[in-house]
Amino acid sequence: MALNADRQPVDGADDGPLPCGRSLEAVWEGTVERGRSPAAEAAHRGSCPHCSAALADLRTLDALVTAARELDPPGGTDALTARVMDVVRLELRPGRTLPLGTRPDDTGWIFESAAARELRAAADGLPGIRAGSCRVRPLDVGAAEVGQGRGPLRVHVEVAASLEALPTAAEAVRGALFAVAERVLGMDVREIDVRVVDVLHEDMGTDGTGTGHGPEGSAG
Amino acid sequence: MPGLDSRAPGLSGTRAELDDALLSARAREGDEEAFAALVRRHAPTLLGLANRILGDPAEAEDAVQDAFVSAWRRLPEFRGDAAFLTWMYRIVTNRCLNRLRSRRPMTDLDALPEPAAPLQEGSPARAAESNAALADLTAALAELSPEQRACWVLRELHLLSYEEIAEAVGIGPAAVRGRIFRARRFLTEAMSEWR
Repeated sequence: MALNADRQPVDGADDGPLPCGRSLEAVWEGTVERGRSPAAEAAHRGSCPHCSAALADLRTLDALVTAARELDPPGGTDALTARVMDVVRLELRPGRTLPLGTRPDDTGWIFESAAARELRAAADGLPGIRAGSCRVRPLDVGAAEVGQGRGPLRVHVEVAASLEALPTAAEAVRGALFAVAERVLGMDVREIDVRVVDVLHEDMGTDGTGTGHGPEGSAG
Repeated sequence: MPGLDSRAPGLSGTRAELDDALLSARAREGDEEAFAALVRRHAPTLLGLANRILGDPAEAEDAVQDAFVSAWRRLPEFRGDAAFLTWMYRIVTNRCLNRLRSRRPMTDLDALPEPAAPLQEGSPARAAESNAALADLTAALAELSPEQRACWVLRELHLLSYEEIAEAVGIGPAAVRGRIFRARRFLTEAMSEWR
């Protein structure tokens, strides 16, 4: 095939058995080839120089691979991250525009991504809660599509919750998000669907991008 | 020895995967700060992979940068049924193999740059003999075909399953198995003097 140059191990070029007749794959994997008895194979492998050499070579490689795997990955990726994010910020996906305000004469709008950021932060601020997906949609999808898109809204949010937070997670998230929607964003949110999608374990919830508090201190 | 038994060296399994799932759900909906957190977290691992496949640090940086930008553009279609890192392994491997394919017509193997980033980079305190052996391993890796090298590195250094490698490289699991076996045989012969 095109990718193989002449010096490379080419498929089928050197597939023959070891000089003792055993296949290299069988020796490496410790399997017995068809037609040979397991007892005789065990005795053979104990004494055969070709089999022993093949296994010793494999162990040598394995030791080196283990050493290579334990090495730290290359550091100094801050510049790479910055370059990626420079491009990303030129290609933002702010999402749909959502109406601000609750009165008929309100005219303000907000991008869904900006609203979602505030709502997620409110969920992250609860003990033992981390937010994932957060979408904001018109409460009445049909009416919004016909009209100008102004009208009451519905929020769908997915969270992970610690075991302690789990029993009251939905209510707590709903309360925090209603408060932020009304007092911080000024959005007419009427319904909030909370889906708990995962369980946070003891030491989770304090890391990452959110401002989430850990579940009641880190035990231990 | 953190990371040895985990899919993602340097990360602690479940917690990292959960964080990734939450962060990639946010990023999919346009939260660029969540995406930045994912880039910061996974850039070192993916740069290590690209370095080993390409053997050229500058080109590896370009490949990983392209891969992340492409991931940002494709995130709206990312279903989240694969882990974010597995998805990134696929994109980075693909970018690297395409780069190697596109530079093949103008070079033969002898003209490929010598691997400039030996595997022992970043570990100054290692014994000289171990450094030399690892440098030899790096040199031997450069002699494998790009697909063999990609398969072997994903398996042995990044601990991906055959199925994950098959998806990343774009060949069947049986072909992955064959490439890894041949790579391993070639490398054991190349490294037998260190026995």
